[in-house]
Amino acid sequence: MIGPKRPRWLAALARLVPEDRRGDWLREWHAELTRIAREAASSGAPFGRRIRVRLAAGLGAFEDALGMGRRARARATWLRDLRVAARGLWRSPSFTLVAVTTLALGIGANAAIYSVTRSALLRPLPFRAPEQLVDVRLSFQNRHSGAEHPIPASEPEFLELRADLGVDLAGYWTGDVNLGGAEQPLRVSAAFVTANFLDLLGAAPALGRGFRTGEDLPGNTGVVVLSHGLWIRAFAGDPGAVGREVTLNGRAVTVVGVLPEAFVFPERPVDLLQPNPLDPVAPGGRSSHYLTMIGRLEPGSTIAASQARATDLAARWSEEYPGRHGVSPDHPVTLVSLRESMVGEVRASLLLLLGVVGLVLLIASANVASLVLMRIEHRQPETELRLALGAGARGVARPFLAESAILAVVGAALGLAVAAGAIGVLERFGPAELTRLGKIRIDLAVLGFTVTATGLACLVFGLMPVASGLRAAVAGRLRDGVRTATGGTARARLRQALVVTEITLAVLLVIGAGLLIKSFAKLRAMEPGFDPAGVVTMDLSLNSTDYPDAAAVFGFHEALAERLERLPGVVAAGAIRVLPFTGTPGLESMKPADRAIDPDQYWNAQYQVVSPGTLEALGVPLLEGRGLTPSDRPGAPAVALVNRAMADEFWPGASPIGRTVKFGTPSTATPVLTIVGVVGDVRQSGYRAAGAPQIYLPRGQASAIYGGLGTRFATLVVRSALPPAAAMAALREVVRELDPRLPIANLSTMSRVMAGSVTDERFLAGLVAVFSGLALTLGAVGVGGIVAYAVERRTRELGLRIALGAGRSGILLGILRGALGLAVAGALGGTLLGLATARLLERHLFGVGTADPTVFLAAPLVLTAAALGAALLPAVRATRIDPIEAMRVE
Amino acid sequence: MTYPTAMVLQALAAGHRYGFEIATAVGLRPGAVYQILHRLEEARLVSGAWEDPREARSEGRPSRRYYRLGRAAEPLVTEARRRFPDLTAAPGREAFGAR
Repeated sequence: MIGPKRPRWLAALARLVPEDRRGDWLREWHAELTRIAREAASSGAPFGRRIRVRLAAGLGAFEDALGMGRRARARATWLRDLRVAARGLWRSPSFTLVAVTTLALGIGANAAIYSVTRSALLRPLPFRAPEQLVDVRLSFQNRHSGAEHPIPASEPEFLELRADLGVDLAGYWTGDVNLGGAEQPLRVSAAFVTANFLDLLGAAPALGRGFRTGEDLPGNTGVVVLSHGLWIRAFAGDPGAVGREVTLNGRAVTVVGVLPEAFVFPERPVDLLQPNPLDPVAPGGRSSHYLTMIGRLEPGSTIAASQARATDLAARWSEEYPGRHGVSPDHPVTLVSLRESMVGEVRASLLLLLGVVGLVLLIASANVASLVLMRIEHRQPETELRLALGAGARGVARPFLAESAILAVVGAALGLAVAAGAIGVLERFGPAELTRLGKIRIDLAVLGFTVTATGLACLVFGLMPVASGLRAAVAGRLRDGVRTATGGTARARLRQALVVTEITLAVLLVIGAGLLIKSFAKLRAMEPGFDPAGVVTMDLSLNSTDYPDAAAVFGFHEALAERLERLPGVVAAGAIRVLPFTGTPGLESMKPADRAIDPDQYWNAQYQVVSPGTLEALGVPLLEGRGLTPSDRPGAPAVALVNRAMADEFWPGASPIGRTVKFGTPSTATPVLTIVGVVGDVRQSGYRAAGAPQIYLPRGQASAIYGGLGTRFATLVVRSALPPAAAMAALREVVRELDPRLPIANLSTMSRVMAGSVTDERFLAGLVAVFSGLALTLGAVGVGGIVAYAVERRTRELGLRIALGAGRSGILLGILRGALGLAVAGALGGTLLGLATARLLERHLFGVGTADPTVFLAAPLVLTAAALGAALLPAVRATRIDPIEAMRVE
Repeated sequence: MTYPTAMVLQALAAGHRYGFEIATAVGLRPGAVYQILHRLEEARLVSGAWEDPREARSEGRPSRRYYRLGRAAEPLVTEARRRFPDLTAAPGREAFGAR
């Protein structure tokens, strides 16, 4: 050893330092004290000062040793508390299991919905400077209903907007095409875009190039850019695909590029992009609305500024083309941020769900809080003993807090596992918008959210009961020897408050679920105007090379109809232009041809093209006149069917049979059609669609009536007595026999098509139902738990009462009355809360008021019944208490 | 972060290496400085190492324990400088007057 000997007092002081650090501590302080002593000796300072400095150094050693010891003890205590808590939880498996499961479900639901929200709403759009992108919409106002709905732009409108708006503008429309020249013929979805589309989005192809200026001029459009998915699927990811020639609907085009995997088409996933022919010098008709528009604002420019210009332009339109446009006078052209237009719809649902799962977590926390509280009471004697032995409030609280911490950590970990599973289910069955911007992931933000949610839950179920429970324990010690039947009143009140809160929130959620389910049921119960049972459907598109003209297309359909009719079990078959529930057929302007009407007035109807047998296959009722027959062929007198709504609007109060109608304007070279029949109204675009005027043209005459647009596309509709699978197989076989090169697409049953049209509603109603079911279970378990606990605490008293001759039914009713009180208080609170907040659901409801009496009566009754049901078991147990046994219970 | 902790961090960053040196540099009680150093060491923000015994022997004294800031402490030092600027710019004091 160097320097003076180590003083004994320092070695004694070192005992305060934890053993593993004692040696170092001693050596360090010895060195320091030696230095101080030497400096003091050589400094020549006055004696008093030298002593003061050395004393200060010695006190420093003391202070340091104390601090190290205290910290080590605190660490050891926490570790010991955690160990004790873990052992305690292990020994109470039912408490642990219930608490952890409850928390895991609550936390898992939150983590899952937050992940979905983050992926679907918070992720940036995968485009360059996405905040500059806007959706430019024309708004169409229905002359009859006054309702507004967006419509695409016509070519002249698009060109004028592009010139005047001060916004870089691109247009597109989507449809399905037959892709040939790849490994096998495929029916794929395509977007037909203006040449600037990809540049405007800032999306560069991963391979090859995008479109060049002028490639959207008529005659120049023989190029195509593939999506990453199609490139993999149809070309096995071969880079040599770029430069290859393929056919689209039979027409040869060259693959010039492949989009990156991350590319997202704004409206719906598409497989390929092709320029849409648009001649700026001689654009198409002003009434042919088909271009959906996306704009990019100049940097620094605002939506409001461009909106003002758009409004001016629309005002000019209504002057120049009076009564012709039908655009809404209030919102003729609207600019909306692209993000809003892509995720706006799903946002409302997700925010609602976030609120719902937040409530579920609150209920779960309240449930666990009440369990923890009971546990604290259960261990009151132990706590009192510890207090009596001099433990501080912190000391007695620590084991319980440690238990809560373990529950929280395990609950959160299991919750993340629950979330991961739930996300898989949501991705699979939720609406497509959820995954529009990419896969749903559990990322750091979700973990952060989970930790926060768990922390907040922990405050409710950990700190609150511990604080309140221990206050009662201290009070209990002061009232030494006084035993109450159900424990401290404060604790009992807290427990009751927790259960009432649970029931209140559960009633609120059940009301929400009830409204959404009733709304969904109402929606599904809407009469569609046809009978989907036994109907199978399939999309068909004929190539222009193999079927170059209307006659060839018609020939194919005639041959197909003949074969379909011969199939065993087939009742009726046909083909329709736009299958109901898959979209709206275009609105076409038309007027009664045999009535004098204001030439400036705008009349329109949805037009469908059907082959004979189609409406019979769909089960659309014929109300008047005759249906279409094979004799309504090319060359025969032009006829049409109208629906009830069109008959009432065009010829009010009179039969439309034998009346005439003309497409387009009086100057248009379209034949005059004679109405031969009236059919029922069909909800064309889905359950919510209102009855709109509809006209049905025979397939054989459609091209003569309006020039053959869209006649190559059709959906086959077959009603048969066969099981759906057999009918679909037969349909596939017939089409293959006729033309093996035709791709089979969207083979399905009509019922499935209709179910698919309400995915969003089913998603929301289904999830809220699941969560409210969870809330209901938790609420009932909460009541059951509190009753069971009360019975256990009152065993002695109940036993005494039984011994004194109390009737068992009286005891049963007494206990149930207590549970009923809690349930009724919660049910009342939940109903009031529901009445106050149901407005939030308004936009999600269909045909159900936000104060629907059935739901508002049923939800509290269901909860009350569930609570009583849960209370029944412990209540019955109370009636079976053996008085003699009960007397022995301490 | 408390004021004394900020001072100790800044003193370490300025190159002061052992407890009393730091205490005299920033004018804190040695006990407080050691407590802070040991707490930082337990948190692995600061590491202590023994001086080469030969060096100590040549000066005829026991080896000292020198403290050095760990990498994890860098943001803390920045934070300390932000909240309590220019502490190390103040002239250090020595226990017995002149250095």
